[in-house]
Amino acid sequence: MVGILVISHGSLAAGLKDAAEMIMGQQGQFQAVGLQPQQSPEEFQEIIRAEVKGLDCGEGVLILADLFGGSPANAAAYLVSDKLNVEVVTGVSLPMLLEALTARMGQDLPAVADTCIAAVSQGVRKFSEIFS
Amino acid sequence: MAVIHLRIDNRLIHGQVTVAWVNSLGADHLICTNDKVAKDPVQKMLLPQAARGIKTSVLSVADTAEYVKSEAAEKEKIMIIAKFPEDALALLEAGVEPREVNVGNQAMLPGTKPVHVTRSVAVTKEQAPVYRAIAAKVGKLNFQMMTSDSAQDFIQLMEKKGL
Repeated sequence: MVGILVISHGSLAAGLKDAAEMIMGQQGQFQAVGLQPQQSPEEFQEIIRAEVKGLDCGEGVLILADLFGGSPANAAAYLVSDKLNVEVVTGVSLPMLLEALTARMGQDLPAVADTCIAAVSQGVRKFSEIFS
Repeated sequence: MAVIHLRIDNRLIHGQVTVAWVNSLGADHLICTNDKVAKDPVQKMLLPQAARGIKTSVLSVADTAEYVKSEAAEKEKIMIIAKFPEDALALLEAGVEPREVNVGNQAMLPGTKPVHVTRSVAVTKEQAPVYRAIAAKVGKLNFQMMTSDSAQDFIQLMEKKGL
């Protein structure tokens, strides 16, 4: 099974993990790491490298980052550049995370990443249009 | 030359934050300055993408100084983001004359024992004179995280923390 690592600024990643497990129950091969204000990008990169190593059971790891262009996502870019078996998708949200945790039961890493991106548009709705 | 703003920020282009600064300043060219980053292919690819369409260059200190003195730079409104205070001072010493200098993020570096001057700015004993030299050269060194924050005097903030 594909491992999942959520990374963010501050405690967002931990909060998303907490929310997802409130809905789906405890999940295996699933971690969350937040960049702290006093942490350097280099230090954060070392931490996520170690997490990826622990989460990869041979099928790779999906890294869900909060913000394209942000320091956590930029740190993860080096793992892609170093040809580790990871996919990085930015703009993580609760619907995206729930989709990833479900899709990894039957899909490989590239497919889970694509499913995450497809989930975004379905998760963002404007209620005035639904009620009109 | 028209360097309207020099920001010291070791996160370089930080998505929305940088875009907010560029828009508020009316800058049309963003230059990220650090010798190591200028040689890093991952950063050179990511930084312009993070700037969302704003013209972005990733240059060494020497190349930045050379560019801002060029004819092409005269018509531009340039915002420079220096990764470290040492980069900012090197730019000033190379003749770059920004209208204002501002300290943004400066996360702690591994293996150092800095003083946290603010929640987001860590300064080592060795760096304190660098910040003072910058302030002496430009007259005033601001600390301002977001455009909506009011600017504080960075040297006074350092002094309050005993640096």
